[in-house]
Amino acid sequence: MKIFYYCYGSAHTSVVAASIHLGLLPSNTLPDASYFERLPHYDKTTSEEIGTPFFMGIDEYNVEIYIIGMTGERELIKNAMVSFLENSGIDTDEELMMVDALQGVNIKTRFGGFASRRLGLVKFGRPLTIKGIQENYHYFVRLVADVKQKEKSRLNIT
Amino acid sequence: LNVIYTCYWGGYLAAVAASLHLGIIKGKEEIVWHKILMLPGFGEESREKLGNLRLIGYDEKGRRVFIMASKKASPIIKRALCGVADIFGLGKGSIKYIDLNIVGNFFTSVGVFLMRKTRFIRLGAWIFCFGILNNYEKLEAVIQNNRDENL
Repeated sequence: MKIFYYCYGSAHTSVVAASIHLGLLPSNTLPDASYFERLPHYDKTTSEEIGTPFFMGIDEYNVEIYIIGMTGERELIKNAMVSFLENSGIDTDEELMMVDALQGVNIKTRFGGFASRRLGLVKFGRPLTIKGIQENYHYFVRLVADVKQKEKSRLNIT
Repeated sequence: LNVIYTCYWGGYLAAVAASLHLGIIKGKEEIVWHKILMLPGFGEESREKLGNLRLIGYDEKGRRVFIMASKKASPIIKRALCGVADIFGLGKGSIKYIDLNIVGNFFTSVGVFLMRKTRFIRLGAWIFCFGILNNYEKLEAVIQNNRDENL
């Protein structure tokens, strides 16, 4: 099985969720800004890279974790991916888990992301995205806990 | 191997291109409103299923020919599909993705609007055909290049 965390641009919320999943970010404490700045792909994905799945790592159950950006067409792109894989003989119920990480975004992360990725104001935007993520960090921790629960049940791990 | 023709709603330019690719319609003279309305996948869409691939048939090289909607996200979908194809071991080259929004024009857009949003389906189809015929050489070149190419 492979897990894809998706968000708007694969630069913020999906990176954070995938990083919590892989233990790159703690799930029991609130990490400071330096943790986020060190994460692979955090606030770095360019517009031309949106849609490209990025490998983030392999979790404790040997499942590959990816992030992907889908802009505002998340349902459309998700349908396309699932439909393509099913037409290629892959059982997506077994082999694929798609997780929407954008639900945890707030106005600070949105605005900071826009400033950093679209306007190129990285020094202003990046700290703002981190502030927004920190304010909602508990949401991502809960999301990942739910995902891991589902992952375990799909893999028949007790 | 998969050939995916895509346009904004998936069921218009893409459906015509897929039918030309497969020889369901043979050329310019068959782009007429009453024929295109009968093409497989033509005008078929549902909001929940936007993005789903619809198999139209197999070409002479045994490749599967699909149509799909991509709205304005075509380059993103292309990267996503090539990426997942690679990740799941299907090979990046297993997809030939052809965005037909480049052959659309004012008339094809008006025709699609009339077919989708009004009861003037025949008029819409006629205008749509007029638009395609205005750009037929470009459409034919795109399909021919793709049909001749070995994946």
